[in-house]
Amino acid sequence: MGRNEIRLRRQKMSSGRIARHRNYGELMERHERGIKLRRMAVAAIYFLIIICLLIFYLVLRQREQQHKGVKQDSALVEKNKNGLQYQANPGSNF
Amino acid sequence: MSEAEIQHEYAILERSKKNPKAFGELYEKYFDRIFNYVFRQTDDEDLTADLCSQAFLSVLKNLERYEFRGVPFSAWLYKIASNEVNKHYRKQKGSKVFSIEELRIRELIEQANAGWDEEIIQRLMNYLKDLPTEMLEVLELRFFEDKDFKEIAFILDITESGAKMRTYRALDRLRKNFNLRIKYDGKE
Repeated sequence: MGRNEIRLRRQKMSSGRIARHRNYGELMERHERGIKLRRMAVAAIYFLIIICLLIFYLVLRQREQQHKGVKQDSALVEKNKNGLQYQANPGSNF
Repeated sequence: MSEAEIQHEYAILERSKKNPKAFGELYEKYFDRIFNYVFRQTDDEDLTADLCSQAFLSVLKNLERYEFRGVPFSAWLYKIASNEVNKHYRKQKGSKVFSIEELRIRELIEQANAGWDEEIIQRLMNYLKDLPTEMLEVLELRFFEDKDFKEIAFILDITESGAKMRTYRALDRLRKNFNLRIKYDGKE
């Protein structure tokens, strides 16, 4: 049973034929393109993180404001309630 | 490889970390060797060109991380090329191809003081077919790329004694089967 495929080559690959595939300029272009893509991906990730943080901050602020509004409303209701009680019963010390 | 050559290559690599264009000298120097090494494991010219290009791109990408580990830079290059080949076969899920040059086989048989003919070569092919991939990889690096055991160990990510053991075992079988007086360096 053969584990690998063994092939016998009559001739060695000529250096002229190999030279057709040797192109450092093209390799550099691919490398620079890769660097640009990587930088763009990193910038996009940072941008997304900033956007997420901003959304989180805005949501938090909105909730805080809502909470504050509810507190103010209940304080006002309480005050009004107390005011009404005083008017109805001015002698009571509450 | 002399100490001066290793130092020279190291200086080029240090320059290349700042300016990748400087790496061109090493690319020109090693491209043919890496191409032949990969071609021997694929037997497909276009695929070899792709894998070579991918290997050199990977080298450029990881140049910052390169540090001298007691083996020449070429060993690192072979290691990356070997990883690219393995990655390709993992994706393909097919059996690995070893395409060896008849001329080199004849040279090795002649060095072992044995006459060669078509029948011996055919028997040898059948013998190689049954060898485990790990042994073939070691034999290829030892007898087709002339790498020493330290470099082979680094390239294949095994220990030096492991590389020696695999070679000895493969050659012992070869001696028994073919009555060759072949030594570990390919000479008699």
